[in-house]
Amino acid sequence: MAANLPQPANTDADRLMTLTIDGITRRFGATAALNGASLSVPEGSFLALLGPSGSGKTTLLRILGGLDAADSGAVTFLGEDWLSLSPQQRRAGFVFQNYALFRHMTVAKNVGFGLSVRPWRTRPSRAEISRRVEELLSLVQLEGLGGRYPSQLSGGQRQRVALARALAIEPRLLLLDEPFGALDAKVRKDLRRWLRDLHERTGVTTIFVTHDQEEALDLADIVAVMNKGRIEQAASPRALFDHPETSFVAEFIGGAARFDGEVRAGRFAGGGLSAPAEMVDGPAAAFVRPHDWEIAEVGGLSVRVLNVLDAGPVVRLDCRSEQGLLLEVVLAHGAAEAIQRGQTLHVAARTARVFPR
Amino acid sequence: MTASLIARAAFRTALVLIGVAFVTLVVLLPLATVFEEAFRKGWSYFAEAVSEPDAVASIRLTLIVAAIAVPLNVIFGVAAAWAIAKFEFRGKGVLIALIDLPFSVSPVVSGLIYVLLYGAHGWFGPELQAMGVKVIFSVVGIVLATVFVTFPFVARELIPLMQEQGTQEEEAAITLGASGWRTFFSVTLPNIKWGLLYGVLLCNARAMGEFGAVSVVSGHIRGQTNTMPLHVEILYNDYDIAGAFAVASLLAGLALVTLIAKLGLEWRYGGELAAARKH
Amino acid sequence: MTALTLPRAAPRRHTVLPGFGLTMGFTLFYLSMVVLLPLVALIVRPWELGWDGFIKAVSEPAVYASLRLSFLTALIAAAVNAVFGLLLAWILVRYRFPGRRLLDAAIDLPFALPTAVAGIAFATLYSPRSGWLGQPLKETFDLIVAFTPSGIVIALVFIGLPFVVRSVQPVLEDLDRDQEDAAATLGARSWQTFLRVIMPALLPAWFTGFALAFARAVGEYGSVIFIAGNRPLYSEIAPLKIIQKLESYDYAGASAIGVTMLGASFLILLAINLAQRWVARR
Ligand SMILES: Nc1ncnc2c1ncn2[C@@H]1O[C@H](COP(=O)(O)OP(=O)(O)OP(=O)(O)O)[C@@H](O)[C@H]1O
Ligand SMILES: [Mg+2]
Repeated sequence: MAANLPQPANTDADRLMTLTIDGITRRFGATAALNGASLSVPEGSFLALLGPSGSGKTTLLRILGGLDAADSGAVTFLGEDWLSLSPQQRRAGFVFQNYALFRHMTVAKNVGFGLSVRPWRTRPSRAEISRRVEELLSLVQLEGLGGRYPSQLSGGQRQRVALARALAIEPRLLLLDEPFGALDAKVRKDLRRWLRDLHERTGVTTIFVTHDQEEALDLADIVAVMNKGRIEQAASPRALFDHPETSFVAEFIGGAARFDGEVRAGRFAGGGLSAPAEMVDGPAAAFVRPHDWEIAEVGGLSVRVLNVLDAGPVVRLDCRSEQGLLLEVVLAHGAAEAIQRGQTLHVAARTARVFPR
Repeated sequence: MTASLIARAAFRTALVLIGVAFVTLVVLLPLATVFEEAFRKGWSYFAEAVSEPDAVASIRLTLIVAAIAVPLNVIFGVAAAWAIAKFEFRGKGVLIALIDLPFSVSPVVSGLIYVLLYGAHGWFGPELQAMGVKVIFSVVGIVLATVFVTFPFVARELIPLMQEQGTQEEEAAITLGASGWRTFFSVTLPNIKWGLLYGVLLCNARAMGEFGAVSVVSGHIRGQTNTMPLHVEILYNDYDIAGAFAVASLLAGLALVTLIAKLGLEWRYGGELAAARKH
Repeated sequence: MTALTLPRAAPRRHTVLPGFGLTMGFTLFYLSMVVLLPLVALIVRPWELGWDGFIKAVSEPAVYASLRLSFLTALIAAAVNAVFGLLLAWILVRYRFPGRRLLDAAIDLPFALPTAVAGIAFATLYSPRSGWLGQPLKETFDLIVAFTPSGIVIALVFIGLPFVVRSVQPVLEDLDRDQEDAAATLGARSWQTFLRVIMPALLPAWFTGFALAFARAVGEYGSVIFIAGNRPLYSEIAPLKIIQKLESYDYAGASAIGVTMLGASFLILLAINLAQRWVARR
């Protein structure tokens, strides 16, 4: 997994090689689907858009693909004013969440569509098209299925046809909207790996939308966390995990428990939790990840164990604090011996991230 | 228990028998009458009746009228369905209601409105007369009235079908570099072709069979402005019953062909047409 | 009601699909030329008579009688269709019997068969002298159907048959059978289930079908004119009155009848719309 944080582009030369999204807004009546989304990633990145439902991921993707228009803002990519290009000029391969395969065309015709609609001058010959289609089908491991219709394929196969169709136009930008959303866990994992390999081979700038944190963190060079039409933070998975910049990211990534309270004289207190905080005094929220708890020697947060899940290398505890907050505590096997359901436990936070409220 | 089962079965059978009897009485007997009367005087009389010059002229006119009215309404229906199904705009409901309007206008009123516009005492009547253009009591008027009466058929068939299909396939085609026309012809049209064919069949059946509206604007000039249904009326009123039914049986044959084609389409492409069938 | 007062086509959602301007423009233009302009001509015309003149034109005895006849026979025919249409939809959806598909197809025949053809067929079928049905009816029951209002009703039943069946059928097909089973497990008898569970769900579609059949029947001309006999004040329908007025160049009088019928159609459409809105809300 790539762990190095990509450096933000500073010079003009760098900017030519960068996808820059600058203050995109898009309103649908009263709702602002995008509300000043900004982002800058190097060309060739594998970027995941992660965020809760309704945060504007699809809208951003559609705008990048030319399927929707921004109300304001700009996108620069490959040195071009991207939003001024027509969808045809952009050559952005778009993979739809439910594939949108042409149902009256065979798999081969679907994959070859983008080539066959090129202007007469640049259109490859029929033989060339069918050769390329064969090539793409073997790339997505669907050799021999070219004669089938989409309705005769499984979900995973359709997904790969959709990918092959998008790849056929030799896209300059590959956009995937929840590409694995409708697939089962096993197929999902295989396709994920495969997509990662493909990206490594082709190097085409790829943006994919996902709901699934694990998927985003596992797959992408850069993960952009979206919330309410903005990009809260875009960073490498590691950086996102270790240095969340906003309270939303802190809470969203890694399933942290949230404690509302106050900072006074460099110390956070609230919801039964007390933790050091380098922050000016005032109302604040503290976030603690499941892995960041330990058994307290003295004091600590008093919680009741609701459920014990002892499987794999760690023990997961579902707990409720005296203040009624539900939280997950993950302990190493050694530390969690003999913990019973219903028992009361005292835990302390090894690390707590505190943000002003 | 068994008694109640038998009672149930008897009840079902009774309902089915009533239904079948009703349809036989109201629909099948009249249809049988048409063919029985058409051949009552034998084959040769039938052949003579449908090949006599006025009959041939009426058949020719009917074909011409349908050949103009149906394509016009196909173009309109496809355009309207594209605008309504693929885009969001205010007043869509009103627009659909207006498209449906001709369905609920009496055929005679459908003819009347064109007389009011283009007739000798109509809005544009004097101007047209001055220019020497004759709309009412001519083929033009017949075409106009037919266009009005068959106006909603294709649009009505396509709108729900295209609404159900959404816009994603078209969007996919566009991101793959296809132009607007290309997208329409290689993605949209293949998806709606059976619904379109179905709409064309219904539109055509109505265009060839329209009586009331055409009767008002035609002027009933034998051999010139008589369509097949009007010719049937004239023969009938002249007490040439067998002749009237001979020509009528051609129209009934067209209706049967339409229904059979419709059955075939539904049987093969039932899923695709299901959305459109609920009207 | 002109094209100008039509809702402005303002796309809310941006989409890359092209052709909105072209297709919407053509749609509005064609709609205005073919449907709206002629209907405006119809609505404006009778007012050259003034309000009193309009009232006089439609209350002239022969006209009034024809309007009354058209509405009454249409109402009766629609009621007959409501009953038998419901029965047909029921057996087509719920029962399996030989010839079911054929029966289903036959329901559409009135949509496809030209009205004039149906008209002469009915007139022949019910002719008291020689008709397959008319002669026995006359000889055994001394009943004459042709050239009387009851003949008109029969033709209108034919014309309206598909509307009720085709409105009710899809709703019945989509009906959740679990509800009926649930009602049965709760001890409801079949007729109770039918009245309390099925009928409420069918009611809006049933009404829509009834209204459509009625609207179609009010204006019907071709299938009626041959069997009606067209005796003034007895079996003359309103559309025939329009034609007679036109033949005597009384355009305003013809339009007055036309507007009255159109107004009735509008009211019926409105009722259907309300019924459908009522369904959508539930
Ligand atoms: N065509 C539209 N018309 C009106 N509102 C829309 C439209 N498309 C999106 N929205 C609204 O914009 C907001 C963002 O939608 P979007 O589809 O981008 O979210 P998303 O992050 O992709 O969510 P999900 O993960 O559920 O797919 C939502 O509140 C949505 O309701
Ligand atoms: Mg989405």
